[in-house]
Amino acid sequence: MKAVYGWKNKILRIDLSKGEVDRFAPDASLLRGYIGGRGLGAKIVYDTGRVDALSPANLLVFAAGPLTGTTTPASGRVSLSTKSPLTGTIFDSNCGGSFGPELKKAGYDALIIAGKSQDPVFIEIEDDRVYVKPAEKLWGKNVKETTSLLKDKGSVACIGRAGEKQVLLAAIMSDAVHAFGRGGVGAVMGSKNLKAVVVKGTGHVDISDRAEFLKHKKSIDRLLIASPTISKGLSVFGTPFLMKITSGMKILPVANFQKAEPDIYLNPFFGKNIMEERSPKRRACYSCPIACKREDKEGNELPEYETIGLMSANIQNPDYSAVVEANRLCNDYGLDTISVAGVLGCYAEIRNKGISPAELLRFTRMIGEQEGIGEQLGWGAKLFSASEGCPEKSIQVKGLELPAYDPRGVKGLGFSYATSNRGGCHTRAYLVAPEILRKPKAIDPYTLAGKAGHTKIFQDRFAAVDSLVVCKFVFFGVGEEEYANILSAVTGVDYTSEDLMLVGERIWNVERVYNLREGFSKDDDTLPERFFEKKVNGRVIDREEFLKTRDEYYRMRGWAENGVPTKRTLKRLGVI
Amino acid sequence: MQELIKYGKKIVKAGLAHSHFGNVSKRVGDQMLISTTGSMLDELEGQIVTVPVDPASPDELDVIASTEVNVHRVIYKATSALAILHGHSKYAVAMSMLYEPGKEQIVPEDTESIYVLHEIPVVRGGVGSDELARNAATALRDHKGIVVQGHGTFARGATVDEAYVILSSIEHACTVKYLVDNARRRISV
Repeated sequence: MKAVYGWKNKILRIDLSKGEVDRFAPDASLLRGYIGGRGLGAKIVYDTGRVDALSPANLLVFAAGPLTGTTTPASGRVSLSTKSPLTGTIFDSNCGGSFGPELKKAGYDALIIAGKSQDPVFIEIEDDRVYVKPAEKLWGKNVKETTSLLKDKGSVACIGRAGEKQVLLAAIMSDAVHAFGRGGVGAVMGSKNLKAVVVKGTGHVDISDRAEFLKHKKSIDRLLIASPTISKGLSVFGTPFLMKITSGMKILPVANFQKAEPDIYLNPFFGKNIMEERSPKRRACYSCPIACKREDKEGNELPEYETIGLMSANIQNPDYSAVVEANRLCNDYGLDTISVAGVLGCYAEIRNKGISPAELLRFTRMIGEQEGIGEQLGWGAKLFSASEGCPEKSIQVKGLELPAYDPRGVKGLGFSYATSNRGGCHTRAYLVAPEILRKPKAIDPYTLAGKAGHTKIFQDRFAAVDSLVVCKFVFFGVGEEEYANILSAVTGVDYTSEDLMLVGERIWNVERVYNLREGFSKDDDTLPERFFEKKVNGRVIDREEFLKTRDEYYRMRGWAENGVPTKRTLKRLGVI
Repeated sequence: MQELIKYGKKIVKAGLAHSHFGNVSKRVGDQMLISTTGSMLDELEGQIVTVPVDPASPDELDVIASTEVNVHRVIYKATSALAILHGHSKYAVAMSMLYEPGKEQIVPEDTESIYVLHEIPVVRGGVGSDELARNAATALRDHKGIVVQGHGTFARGATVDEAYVILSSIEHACTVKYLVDNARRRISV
């Protein structure tokens, strides 16, 4: 058998309905053409056909990449693909921690979970040994307790009570603090009566050319140190360094994206202030020199920028400590913090009042427990606002609540929300880098001019990055060239940066045709009305310019005027 | 802030730097105003941030401040400067690269430059590096302007206007010296 480097050339498949476990070698073209992670997951989920998100037929695909389990900088992430019960779109989510490296070391590129168990179960994997075990004693417990009961068996990915109850904002938590967030992926796991997956691997990942690998690794490490965003921002303050920048640019959402000037004093939420007040410890994912995670003296995870941004001014909460506690509650219930904050912003606007610190904690618990108003809030902003008769107050795209950047002040980022395959998300194109942090090259955030092309290129780029699977943050200092080089050294397959871009474009189109098959159309590639109608800080998105940019974007993608990829494009990309 | 915007435009208009190649700052007490990374010197409106001068006090806005923010900090700490202008002035860069190793200064030929600048130290260090910050700050304790080898000019002043005079004087001195050296070489041939 020909030696395989980087990949394990093996996928583990577990059918919970039938109680069957099997392993298969994927077609070589699947791994080369989709790499792994998000790309591999998207292709597998697409090939499954149309399913109801919370039915046994929906899949959960945990997929690592060829770099996972090596010591490539920031390669500790792992991707999860499924159909989202919140958005109805194809969905991927990736997280750090050690779940991905353990899966690879256990000998698998991916784990596919299908079906539904009759009773609660958890999956235990140790190399070739795979068990589906009863989880009655775990069911009903939250994430921290579940993880502590299972962690001796390996890296744990589990749901809390929110996932068990199939709350549409539920996340899957890895090693207790790393979230497969967004899109209600935890509800999919709950719908399968699957409490947790524990994986331990004792193997290793073979590298084709170790000398080249070490050379490129050194080069990446050097570039990471030279990047100001990393060395002066993420490594010093963690992601909260963004609070001062976005509030200075007046793009921090205030009162459910209604205005620019906050009603609260923002200083306690700034990264420097948090550092001085809490003296947090740095924490890193597997093989990551950036170490952007922060935890307090007791070892509790401190919230990231998005959580702070959306749980402060956006809901008019002045208390940083309440955000810390709400973040802890979300992690423990297994809830997505962005969506929880987004639906609370919507609730606050509908009720015409801010959310007090005590309410923030109470509502978070109620969403996790599906109690009282928490049940409706747990539907997400789109369904909740519709149930209240005011759909215009939900700030979401394709059902996914927006992150903490007002698109009127970062128009390319806003355009990328509109055209995102998984709904209102900043990480699809990650134009935060050029529009806010001015890297790799500063671009004007206040115009849509040129943003059709920027969006396409960055979407393709990060679809490939999510397939390696590598943390997006390294791309503040490193280009796809360096990762193409290290990918070639690891796999022995010659990849150029253009090859990576082509893989990214292929993945983007697979996701697009999945969504079109689900009934999404051009009309869904838009933003909430208030961004076209209401000025904030003197800025609004010009509807005509937005529509022209969208047409231009479709042309650049090789799609028809109605946003459908042409046969020629799909053939060029090898999708059909 | 308006001064920095005004002199940013003047730097580009006078050809002392192409639009992206440089940065400007002004000290105000224990804070400084500095241009952002990747900003164009002739379009600095909305592209200036305020960060602490103290090198031991990193700030979140360092991320979007000029890559040379720490060089400015160390210069302010070591000198009485209240303004620093940095431009990749082409004759200064060329002269810093033409000079023989070991001779770490450019000596002007024209009388005005000799009077204003005396000699112009040439220092080394990577962009935004601690080495550059140390070397630049040390040289600027005794001089009004320096050239970083193969990189560009740093000029200091009590005002932005004064720093601008130094920046343009260094480029003038280097231009004249380049032309004179060239002419001498041709005559001797």
